[in-house]
Amino acid sequence: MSSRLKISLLLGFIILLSSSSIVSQPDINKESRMKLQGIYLYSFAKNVYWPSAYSTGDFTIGIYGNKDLFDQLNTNFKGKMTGSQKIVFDFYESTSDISDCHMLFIAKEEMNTISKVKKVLDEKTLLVTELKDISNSSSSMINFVYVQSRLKFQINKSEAEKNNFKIGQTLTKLAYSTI
Amino acid sequence: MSYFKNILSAVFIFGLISIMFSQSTYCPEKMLLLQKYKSKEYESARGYIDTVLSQCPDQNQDPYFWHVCGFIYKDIYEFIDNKEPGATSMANATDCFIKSLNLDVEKKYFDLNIKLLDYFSTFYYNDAVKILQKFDIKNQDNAINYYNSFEKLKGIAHPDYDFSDKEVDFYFGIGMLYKMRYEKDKVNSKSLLDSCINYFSKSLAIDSEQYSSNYNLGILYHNLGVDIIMEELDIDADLEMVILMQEQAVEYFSKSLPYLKKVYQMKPQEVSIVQGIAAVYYSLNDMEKHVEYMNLLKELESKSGE
Repeated sequence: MSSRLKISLLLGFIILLSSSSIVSQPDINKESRMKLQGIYLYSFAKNVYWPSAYSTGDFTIGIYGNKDLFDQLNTNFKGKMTGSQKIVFDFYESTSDISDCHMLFIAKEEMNTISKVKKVLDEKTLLVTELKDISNSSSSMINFVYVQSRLKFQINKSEAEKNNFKIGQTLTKLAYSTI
Repeated sequence: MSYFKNILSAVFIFGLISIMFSQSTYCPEKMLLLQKYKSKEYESARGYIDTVLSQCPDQNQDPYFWHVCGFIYKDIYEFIDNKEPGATSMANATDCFIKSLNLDVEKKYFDLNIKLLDYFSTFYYNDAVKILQKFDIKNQDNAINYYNSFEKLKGIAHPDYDFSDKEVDFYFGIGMLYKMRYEKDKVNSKSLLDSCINYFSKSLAIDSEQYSSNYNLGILYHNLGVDIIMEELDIDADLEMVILMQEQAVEYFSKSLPYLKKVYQMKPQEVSIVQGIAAVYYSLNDMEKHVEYMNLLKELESKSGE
């Protein structure tokens, strides 16, 4: 009867395994959030119709206030098209950098500068912002909002129509709300 | 081992006497079998088992015969098979001892049969544990079979035996093997993921405070949430798909949280747990809680750096 049950060894094995399990790096959570934002921005580009005067040449998506998002978009969406237009990305560090673009995303950290931004915006620019809270209001045309942990979007149809943007049915149907 | 030898000698003497003086059980083939066994010709002795059964069918109902057969297989297991995990000789030995036990109305061999079944249960358990310890994923099914044999034999030997502690650890160990297999090929092994979760959950159904299963389920669900977005969601996916996959990711993150919080109660100083909770809150967009746990994380990291 030389062999005894190896209880202690199994427990040791468990402790070893537990300590070797690693939670994914926090950055991966940020990356996944940015990926979702990127897919939404790409969908906005495909499902909003710009006046025909702006439907030639490259389609520029500007990012203001979130360099990480810009980097990710630039990597993952490189070479993507919307219609016959090639999508390119531009990053703006300050309001004075903001230049000609079809769509401008303003990170929530920069939302206090929105009135300044609007002054320098071209009429062809669809403004997309990120609201800290659904109860906040915004004068942008599309807002990202978090509702019960889910990233959703809100469409400000009247604001969009002012600049002759036509919001596609898919977006209208899937928007969290339309104001 | 000398314990078994001494008892076996007594049993043999008793058995030989009974054979010599009882006409009804006289069976020359059985005498040959015993001689072969006594002279340690185990393979030859094994060869006689079928001969005895065909020539002397009444032996089929003899507890002594099956008891001896059990010893033959036991010695083959020890001296020929060198205690190889899962050796057929081990299964044969236990089958023989169980038959002997069931036929032994007078309980002449009861104590020894029970001791031997207990003895083999230990080997089955250890063989199962060895597979887990070596992360031997190829032999995972064997580990489960060995463990089941352990429970069967131990249950016969000690009907009141409490398997809870061992089941908690064993189910967790099997869950870890499934996790390893799943992580090797996430795309094509969703069923392994289900089995992994199932075994961790089985472990927690017995002991809800089991640290390792709680920890691993917490991490697993978090990583599943991340994987859905980072690995499975195509950037060209249509918006309906994006919404569906996000829904699934949130479900995983929400499932992760109670497990991680439970282990946080057990080990509040464990950096990886605090990091995990902060990450889950970030993914659930609960920034207040995210910041709270990030601050705790900073405190822990600064303490560990001191």
